[in-house]
Amino acid sequence: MSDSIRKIAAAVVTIGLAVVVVIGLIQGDRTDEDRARSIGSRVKCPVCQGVAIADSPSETARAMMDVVEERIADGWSDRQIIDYFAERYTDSIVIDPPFSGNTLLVWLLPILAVVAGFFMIFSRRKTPVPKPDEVKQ
Amino acid sequence: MTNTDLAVEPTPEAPQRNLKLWITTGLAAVAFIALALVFNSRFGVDPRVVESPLIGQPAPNLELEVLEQDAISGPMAMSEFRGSVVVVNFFASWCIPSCRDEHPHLTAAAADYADRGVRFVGIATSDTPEDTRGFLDALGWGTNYTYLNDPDARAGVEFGTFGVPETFVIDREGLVTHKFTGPVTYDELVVELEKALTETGS
Amino acid sequence: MNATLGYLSILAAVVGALGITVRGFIAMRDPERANKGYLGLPVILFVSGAVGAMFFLELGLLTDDFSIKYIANNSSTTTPFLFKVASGWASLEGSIVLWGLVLAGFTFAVYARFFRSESGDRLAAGALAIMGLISLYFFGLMATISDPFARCVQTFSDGVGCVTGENAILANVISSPIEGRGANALLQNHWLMALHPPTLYVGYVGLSVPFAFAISALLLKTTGAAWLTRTRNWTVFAWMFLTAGIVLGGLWSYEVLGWGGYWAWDPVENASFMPWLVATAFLHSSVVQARRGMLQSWNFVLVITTFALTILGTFLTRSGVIVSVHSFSQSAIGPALLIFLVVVLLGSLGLFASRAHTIASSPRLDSLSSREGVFLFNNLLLTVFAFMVLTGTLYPLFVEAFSDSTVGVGRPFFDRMAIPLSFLLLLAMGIGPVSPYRAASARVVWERIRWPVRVALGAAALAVVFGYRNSFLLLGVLAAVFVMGVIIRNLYDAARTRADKLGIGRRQAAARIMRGDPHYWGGQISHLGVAILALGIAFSANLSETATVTIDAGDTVNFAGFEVTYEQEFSRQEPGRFVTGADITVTRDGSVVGTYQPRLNQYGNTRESIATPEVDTMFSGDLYLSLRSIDPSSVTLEVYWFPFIWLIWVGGFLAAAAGVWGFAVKKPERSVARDDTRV
Repeated sequence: MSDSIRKIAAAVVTIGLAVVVVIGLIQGDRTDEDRARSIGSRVKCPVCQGVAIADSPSETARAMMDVVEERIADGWSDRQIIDYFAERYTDSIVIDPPFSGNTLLVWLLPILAVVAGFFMIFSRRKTPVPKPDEVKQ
Repeated sequence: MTNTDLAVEPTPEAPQRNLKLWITTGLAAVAFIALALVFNSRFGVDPRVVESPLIGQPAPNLELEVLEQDAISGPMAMSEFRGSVVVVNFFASWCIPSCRDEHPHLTAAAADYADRGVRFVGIATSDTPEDTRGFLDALGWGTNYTYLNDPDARAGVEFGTFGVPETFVIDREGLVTHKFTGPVTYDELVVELEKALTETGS
Repeated sequence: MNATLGYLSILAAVVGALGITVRGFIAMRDPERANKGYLGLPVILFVSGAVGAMFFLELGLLTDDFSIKYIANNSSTTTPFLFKVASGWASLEGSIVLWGLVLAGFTFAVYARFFRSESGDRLAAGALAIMGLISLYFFGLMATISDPFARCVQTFSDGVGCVTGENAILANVISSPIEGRGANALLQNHWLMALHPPTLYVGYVGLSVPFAFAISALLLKTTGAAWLTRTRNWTVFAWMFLTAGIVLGGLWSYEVLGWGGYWAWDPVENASFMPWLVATAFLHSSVVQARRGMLQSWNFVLVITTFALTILGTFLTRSGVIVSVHSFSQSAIGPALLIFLVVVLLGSLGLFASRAHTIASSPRLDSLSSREGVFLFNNLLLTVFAFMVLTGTLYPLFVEAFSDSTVGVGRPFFDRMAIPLSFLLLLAMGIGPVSPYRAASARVVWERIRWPVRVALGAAALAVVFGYRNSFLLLGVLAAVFVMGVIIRNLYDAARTRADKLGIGRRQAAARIMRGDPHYWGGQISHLGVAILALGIAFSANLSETATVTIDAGDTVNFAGFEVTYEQEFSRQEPGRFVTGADITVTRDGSVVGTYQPRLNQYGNTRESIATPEVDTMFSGDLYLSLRSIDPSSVTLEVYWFPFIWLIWVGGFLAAAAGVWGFAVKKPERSVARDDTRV
């Protein structure tokens, strides 16, 4: 088999595989997550430490998950259910900080750090000189 | 975690580099001190104690079974107490030693304030009626005291409790005026009761 | 007796640490004195004191000496042997004794390693002085506000446990409780708890060695690469234990806490993860300095930050400012640790700034697409990762300090931030090791990653064909298989070339190659471990199944292809605990998979029962049964199915163990070139 045919075949196989993966990603199903679980994972269990009510085996967390399920059945929105808990336990119980208000900064700081870091790395670069890479690893 | 020196320039710009360095160092130092001050402000504060957002708000209305010495009677709504100052105490037989410690304080206050119209409610949290009865038989059933059953801790969720014991004071209009986290003493209770009685009273 | 001897040991260690500090600093200025003889006496005194403190604490625990407050409150006559031993570090004062012991071990190792024959080693003398200073602080704590040997002067009314204690030597009225309060129920529930803290401590404390050398180098203004290359193996050693400690912590959480998870982004988990991230960045950037002379000051910053983060971690765990599974009750130790943290940070930062002019400035980067470029990218990602974890952990404290409101930051935040960062890190992990130094052309890099890319695409395509559509799973497979592919291809390719050239077998050639550059290949094995771990997370997190089932006695429910049957209830008294459990039989297509006994344990000193979940690890995944409530007629279980979750433990421990390759494997004699000389 000649070299160029092999190259083309390899490229076709690579692209073919990539297409399959991309199709898989596009069809990605992440919607079937249980709504109660997803709300429960955003509310901290008040009697445990650091664990969400969806994850905690404690009795209080069970009771709160029951509340979540009943409210869902009553047609409450996710926000309303979470606010219901925040009204009783303060906002500290909501462990999924919104991208706004006084929790905006917690999202922005790491992003700013990435940007600053990139800037520093770029500023360390020499003016690019094309160089052959004969230096082995 | 400041990326201090990635930006450091090579030698030709040495004075500029030093200035930059001192500025970043200074900024980092200020950040550390701010951090230390924040930590310092937390000493002596129990992170588990969170001020209840229910204060000043209407107390949740609950319907729970009433636990008596020899019977369990049908559900009773907390709104039946409206018009009286109410003390709601969350306790459990398994809560040792805090609930045992505060028990005589609560029963004494209940007896002393009965004639001033203060009603006491004990909510047995995550407990079986048998265990609660055992606890109360051993330590004494309060007079002027209603005991309610909350086997699956739902009432605790309504009140936003972080554990037992916790005690809420509710005024005549049904607004929460105070919350105690942890065991309560007679003296502490009296202070809050007097406040609640004068605020909306007479 | 135990108390007095124990306390005297602490005093001996204080004196020894003071001696190490003073003599270390003198020896640092006077090379004539930087030798074994001059520093020997204080080191021996210090080490004996530290060993003595732990020994007498353990002796007291094993002989039920409840006249010591710590023992009265953390052990009892019915505590099983293993947990009596583990109680020696399960609570605040004891954990500091263990910390001190590990510190003494490292101090002795530094002393023995660097003053074996040569004298006049000023750098090592200075490092020893710094370690003496750190030791002085920790043993000073033990001698004063965190005294593990305080004698009990007032027992609880029922004679069980101790309310207040006083210094062992000064106390005059000693009242000995008749019984101890027993070990923390959560901690004595599993043998892993005996292992997790010491492992983590070896990691934490080991990182003070490169820190001490760095500070010594700054003090001496010998800011070349010597401090770095000489402590390289120590850093790898500490990093291994830190890694293993974190993985053990996850395993403990999974096996014991009964919620099916292994990582909750709990503040104290974060506290151990942050130094790990920065130490990992340091391991990588030190390679760049050794090979290319770059990042010299950055390495100082990283090593100082790593050490500061270990102290911050200790502070967060011990001070009670943050609620966490691990936090001990509040104590006077918080302010003392805070002051230490501030002194360490400001002191080392100030020193660094004042010595910055002596640090040779780095050559500039030839090109961003080069090994150095990827290393920089890796360092950026790791430090930003650590910064993100720090921000998320401390943010609620800041909001509460500066406003009236409260906020919560938890798992959803950390997951959302960590996932993209982890994918980028995996990408760098795949491309970096095969990129040439200085400048890498796209053609060369593509040549080296071509096959791994195809294999990764093939694996992900296979997953799609099998019906998996979960994006995180597909991306996880893609990234992890890519990294593994690169490592394997890299070795295969090098071995083939070498084998052809020397006319030897490929396996032999591969072994020679891996021995020839142990640091590089140790790193590659570690990367392989991380990729396996990533695969385990991708499978178990995205394809797990969970259900809460209530089963009547004799009934069966279906779950994830299994039939789960509740046979009967059982209960028994075990040493120190009362156990209630359910006999559960699980079958699949009629054939028995196993019989399980998920249990609830009632410990004497708590009313809450603690679950012991049953975990059955099969090739295709873990069946995890956690008991929620039980009576003879019915049982409520939390059942989980975690596909391939064992990959996480295999990968994690492989990543840690790979460090052994990095420093234990000796290069063949003939290769004279050492890492630090090849610039």
